[in-house]
Amino acid sequence: MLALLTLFALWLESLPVQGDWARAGYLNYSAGLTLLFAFALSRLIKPLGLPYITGYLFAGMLAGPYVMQILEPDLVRRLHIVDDLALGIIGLAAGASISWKEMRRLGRSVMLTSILQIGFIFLLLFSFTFFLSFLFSSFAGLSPKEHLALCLVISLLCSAQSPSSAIAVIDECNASGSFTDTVLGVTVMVDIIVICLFPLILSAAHGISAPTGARNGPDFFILLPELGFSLLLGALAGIMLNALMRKTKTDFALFILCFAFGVYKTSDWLGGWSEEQFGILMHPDPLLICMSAGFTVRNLEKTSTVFHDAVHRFSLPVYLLFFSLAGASLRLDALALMWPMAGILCLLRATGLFMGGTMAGMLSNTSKEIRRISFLAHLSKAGVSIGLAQLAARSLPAVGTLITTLVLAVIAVNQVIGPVALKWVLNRAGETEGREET
Amino acid sequence: MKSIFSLLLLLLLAFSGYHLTFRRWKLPVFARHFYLTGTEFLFLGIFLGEGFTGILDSPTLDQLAPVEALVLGLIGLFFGMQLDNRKLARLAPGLRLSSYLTGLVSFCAVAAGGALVLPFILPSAAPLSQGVVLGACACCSSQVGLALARRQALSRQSSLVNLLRTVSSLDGVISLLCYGALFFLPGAITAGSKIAWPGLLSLAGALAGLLLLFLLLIRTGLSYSELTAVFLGVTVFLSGISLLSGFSPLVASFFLGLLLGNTGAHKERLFRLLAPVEKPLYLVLLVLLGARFSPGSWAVLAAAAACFSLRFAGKLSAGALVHFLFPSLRGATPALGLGLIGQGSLGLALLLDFAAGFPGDAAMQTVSVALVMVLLNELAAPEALAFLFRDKPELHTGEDAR
Repeated sequence: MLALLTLFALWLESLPVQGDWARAGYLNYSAGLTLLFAFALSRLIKPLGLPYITGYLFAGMLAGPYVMQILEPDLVRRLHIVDDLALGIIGLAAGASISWKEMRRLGRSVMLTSILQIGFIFLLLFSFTFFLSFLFSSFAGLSPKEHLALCLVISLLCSAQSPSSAIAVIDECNASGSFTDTVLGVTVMVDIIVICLFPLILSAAHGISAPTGARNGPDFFILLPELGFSLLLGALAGIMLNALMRKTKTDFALFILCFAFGVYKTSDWLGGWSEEQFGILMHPDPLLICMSAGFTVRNLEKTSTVFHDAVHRFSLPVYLLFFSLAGASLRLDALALMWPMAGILCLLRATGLFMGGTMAGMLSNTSKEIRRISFLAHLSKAGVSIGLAQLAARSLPAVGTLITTLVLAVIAVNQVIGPVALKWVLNRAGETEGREET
Repeated sequence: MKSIFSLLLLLLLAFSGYHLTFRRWKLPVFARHFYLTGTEFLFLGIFLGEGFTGILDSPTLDQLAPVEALVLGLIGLFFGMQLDNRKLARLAPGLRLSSYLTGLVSFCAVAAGGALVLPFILPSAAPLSQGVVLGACACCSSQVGLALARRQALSRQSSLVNLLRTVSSLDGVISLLCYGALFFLPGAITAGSKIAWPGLLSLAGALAGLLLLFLLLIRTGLSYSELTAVFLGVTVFLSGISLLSGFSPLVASFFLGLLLGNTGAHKERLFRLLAPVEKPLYLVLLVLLGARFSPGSWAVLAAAAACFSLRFAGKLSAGALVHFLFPSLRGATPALGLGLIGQGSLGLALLLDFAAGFPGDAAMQTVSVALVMVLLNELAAPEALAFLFRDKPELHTGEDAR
């Protein structure tokens, strides 16, 4: 199957792409080939015990600009429209997997674990990058202030995790149980905390490194209302979805697609409109909106599986494309350049996760084995980090390239290892036995 | 941003149309027929097009080309899969032949008439190609009129109804084959033939390869969501290859659907997969097609009236010919053609394929003429069907249908 697909890819590379219709064809051909290639590869590596999304990521890396070059950078950029759709569906699925009862039971443990993980990672990474980075030539040309700013930003960004990868692996394994709920809860909570802390850290970094010492203070005061607004909007959307679902009952999947996509685009539009009209960038977080909507529907709708089926109906092809594109977007050239530094950061990150998870486990009376291995469930990192790294790069031009390169290199390593580790941990926790999807 | 907004709008329309159209609301007769067949989405497309609101203008439609190709691919695939060789073999030879014959006669009437008459009404750079496309579009008839009629009355006229259903299911084959031939005609709007031999070989290879791939994947026992992913991948991939080769995604997918529908035991699962999206696809097709409507001048209306007349005459002649050649065929009456006036959705898909694949004024003109012809057919179809069954009043459409 893979040989056949590879043959297709190489053969069709010779056809000229002229005119709008042919360009549209090139997009469809690339998207279709990627979908099929990712599907075939993921099923091929399944006997090795690797999760499907690892296969999708590998397929993307192979098809991407650094290996077979089937997905050229421009094409990857054009196909990123799929990201919004995928993240919307992931948000809905994530929210729908959390019940209010479970949240009340696990809330303390989730909060504790999240704070401790972020705290330890930040501490370890900051210490390393601040005191020992002189060992790496990339840091050689920086002034002390730029160096400090870089350390602050990198340390925070490396704390972020990947709800999308976690959801994908949990879905694939049909995992369920309190450990699964905790993993998902922590993954989501960590990202929320990182998103909240980011403007603070960025503001401080900007203040330290900018020549005039100017601060970006006001952004932080928009953030809390923004987050609150996102949660409220999501809850209202969830109530609406629930009402609509009761009325239509059939084929809700199409509407879910529309909703997931619409939330992202409306959010972008709202941000632009508020900046234009009021001079304030009020950008509700679309992922939070979808999670809140999914959570609301799950906790309003007691017995029906319509919502679950609708969300998952198109989720597989969307995930296939999303993670393949994520793989194609991984900067292998950045990894090649920064791999020693990235490797150390990954190790330190894993250590911080271990320390935070262990301490939280001790305080929450979790079993010894779970305390020992739970950190492996949080290795994945992706989406949020990339977006925030790009924002940081724009705010701190002196160190921007270094930030994005390092973050992307760390992501490249963790996205390969993370899903495998998560699947292993879920199996060890006994929350996937006999339920894995074939 | 505009193309993204348009895509969102299309998805929303498809969803709302799925739940609102085909419902029984009390409206004036001809409006009710439009509403029940979803034709109002054609008007919606016209409203969204460049002639009115400009939301779906030419640049936006160009950016939506990948979506159009996917829609066409799915429609072609669905149609091809319905042609099960085993079921066709069980039909009486006369039934099959009469179906193809009616399609062919209608095609010839409109294609030849169009190529000869249209240049006098509507100056055109490619009368032959326009004639072929209009003829291919005119071939297709629809079963909607029968679907809207009373069930108990249908059961009393089962032979005639069966004949009409079979003809309207199979005449689309002629339509697609004739349209596909257009891509090999030199000077068909574009300079030289649209598809060259390397492209054709690529396509043939792709079809064989995709079929093999699909069968290999199916063997592993896929779940419903996995089947969706594979099916979507195959359709998107094939539509892409078709466009790259310079061929029609609709026709290419039709052939793949034909192969898939006649190999293996997975067909029922595939149908269950496709059935929920058939209606939304059709509605999206109507909107996209309507957006390309550009009346231009009164000559377009005159040309459409001419094509309508040619099609009407073609269908009537075809019906009479079938009655003459196959006198023992159950249900065949001299006025058989009156039951085939309704326009099939495959003809509309073909128009969209043509409009997207052969961009330019001539194609725009052809689409506009064809769309008006379609509307005229939709107006005439219920009355024609009622006239066909005039001695059986309980079958009259336009009255309350159950």
